[in-house]
Amino acid sequence: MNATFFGKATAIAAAATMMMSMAACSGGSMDDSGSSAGAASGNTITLGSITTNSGTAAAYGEAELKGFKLAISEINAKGGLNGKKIKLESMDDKGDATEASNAFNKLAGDSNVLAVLGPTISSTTAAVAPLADQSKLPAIAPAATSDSIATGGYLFRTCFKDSYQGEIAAKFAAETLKVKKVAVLYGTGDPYSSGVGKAFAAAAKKNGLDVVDEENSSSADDTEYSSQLQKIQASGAEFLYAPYYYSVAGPYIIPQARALGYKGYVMGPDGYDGLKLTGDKSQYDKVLYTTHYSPDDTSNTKVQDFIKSYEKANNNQEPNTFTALAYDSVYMFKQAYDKAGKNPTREQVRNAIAGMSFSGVTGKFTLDKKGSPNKSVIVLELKDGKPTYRTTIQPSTK
Amino acid sequence: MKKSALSMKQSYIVCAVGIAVLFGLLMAICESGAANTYIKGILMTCCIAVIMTTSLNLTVGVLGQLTLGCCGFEMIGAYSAALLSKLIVAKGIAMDPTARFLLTIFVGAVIACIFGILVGIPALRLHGDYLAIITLGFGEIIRVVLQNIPAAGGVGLDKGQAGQALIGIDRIANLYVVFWITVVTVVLLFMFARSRYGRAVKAIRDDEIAASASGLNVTYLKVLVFAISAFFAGLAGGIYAQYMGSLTPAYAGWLQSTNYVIMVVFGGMGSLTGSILSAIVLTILPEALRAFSDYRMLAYSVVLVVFMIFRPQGIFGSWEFSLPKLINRIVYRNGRGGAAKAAIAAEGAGTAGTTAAAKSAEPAGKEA
Repeated sequence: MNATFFGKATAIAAAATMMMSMAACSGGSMDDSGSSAGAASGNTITLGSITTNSGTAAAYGEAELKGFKLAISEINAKGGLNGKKIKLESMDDKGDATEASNAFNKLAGDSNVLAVLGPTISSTTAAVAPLADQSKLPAIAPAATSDSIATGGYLFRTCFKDSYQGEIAAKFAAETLKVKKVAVLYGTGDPYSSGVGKAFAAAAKKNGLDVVDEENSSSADDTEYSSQLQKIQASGAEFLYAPYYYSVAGPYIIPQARALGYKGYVMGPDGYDGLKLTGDKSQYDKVLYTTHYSPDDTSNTKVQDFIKSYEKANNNQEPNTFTALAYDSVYMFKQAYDKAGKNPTREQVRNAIAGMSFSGVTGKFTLDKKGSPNKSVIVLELKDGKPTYRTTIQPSTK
Repeated sequence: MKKSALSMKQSYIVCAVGIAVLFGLLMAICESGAANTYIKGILMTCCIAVIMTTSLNLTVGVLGQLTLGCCGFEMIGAYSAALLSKLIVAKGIAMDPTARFLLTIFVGAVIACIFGILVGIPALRLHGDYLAIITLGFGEIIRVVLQNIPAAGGVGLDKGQAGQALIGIDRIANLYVVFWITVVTVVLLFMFARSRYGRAVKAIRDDEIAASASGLNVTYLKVLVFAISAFFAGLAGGIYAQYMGSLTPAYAGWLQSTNYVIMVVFGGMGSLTGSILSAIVLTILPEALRAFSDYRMLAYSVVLVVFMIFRPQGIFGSWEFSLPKLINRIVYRNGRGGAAKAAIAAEGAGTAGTTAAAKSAEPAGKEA
């Protein structure tokens, strides 16, 4: 019985191995690049978009999609690109990497699609990156901030990288706030929290700051931080960098720190957008965060135009950061398209995007060799619990 | 004793021909260029889902233990295979990509299998909800551990960064190779379920105490099934890693695992062919529903809900589709005398019974 079972098994395995030699045929390979060259033909230009419209990150994807649609309708209203109207082919990825790659492959197979906007979140963008390079279809991700995405080939992004925010925060602490002793607290289990936190710690040392304490929590959604905060308070830090999300930093970290008598600055990354507040609003004084965009930014004239245009199209709702980034992504494509010459191919569009200098709602920037922008960052400060514009930090010109 | 038009040997040949025809079809659409990267990507995802679902069905359907940790094992296999593949490249070992692919997924599967045994021994002392919770916890442990290993993030190995997605994995999965791996997996699982071991496992599912009293080593068999399941989940993971090119720890969580449990239940618990069908249908369905755009996920859910109301035992229940059986029926239907007709009627009632038993949800598991 036993012998026959394994006998049959080996026979089948052997037969299958022989069949596998057929795998040498090219058809089974997943890497058939350049099957569709993709040039804009006819009177429309098709842009694909991959966003997360269902699942936990759906709010981000929906906001992005609104940004795409707004920018495209503006461009079309002004006569389109070279007289050609832009058509948007939008796809949902559920926040799932497999779905995102399916959607991307679908767009890549459509020779009318000239470029892709998206995906929304970092994990789906990481999955799409090799596909973009393989199928030579340029993609612009508006808000995928993770450092661990292979950008620079055919994939570019509009937002700054996670580590960049940490570096900017260190620069801000040293040069604007002029503090000496800083502490950092981050969640090791979360790529965003730990990525930004570690980048801050490294940059703080470079900026001549004294990192008096480095604490961490096991995840980024704990609710109890008293023991770590006690150590930070005891270390005499004047500035605490706590890269967490709005749902944790607002109701837990900041009130707990204040309850322990910590009176210094608390700073965070763009995860503080929409910070949840509890109790006395005065405890949120001296809370700052870096972000991509602020509606109160008066130094950038494009911001007010964008807000007006958005409110007109969306029943007076206010746009958010994701919408602004998505809006800029479309204009990045427009600028690249105009530069790439008449009826550009996908490759020409890609070459025009690489290294481009751009000025939009979310600031002025130049794309670096790795496809990420070296851009200005906005610092907001909470006053009476309301985020108010504090300053814009220009990128260091290196 | 049932009458059969085909001898044992002939039925094997029929099955082999069936698989060859399927492969011929696959080659035809790939080589002719009818299938672009999009179609091939979906076919690849189908193969991975088939391996995951059939191997999970062994635990959920055949052994009757609900687990929610299959993606934990899948990710162990995926990360092991991806890192081994990176290591081979980094060390500059010259190797044919297909050979490297097969080696890495096999190693990944073995590592997943070892974890399967380690988890299985303590966990399988529990049943039902308790086991589900343990395996759910296991998946979460894998997720958190992966998030904290520096070598398993960023570009990996010594340049890695903890907590980041693992990127830059060589995308060397070949659709033909994966097709044959899927075939071998299904055949092995099928043979296992039909073997003496498989019958013993089904006995445990139906009545553990009676099985134990009849002298079956319950713990050993349970761990064996769990380990086999984990092995093939690891195998699927290795394929997934080298198809996608990037991995995120979040994939090891229970949310992904429930997807595969849905596929098993949808196909029919205990029916491997049902699992194959449901894995393929449920992988293609969300893509096919793209035309509905905004209502896509709504439509998907509605399909699931309606299906579960009208056919709670899944597509196939515990019935298995089989080519020889089909041929048998065609041959007998064409008339081979009254006696054979009677035999057919009896058998037909057996299969039709599965449909009729929809509402009574009677365990039709005592198949012929």
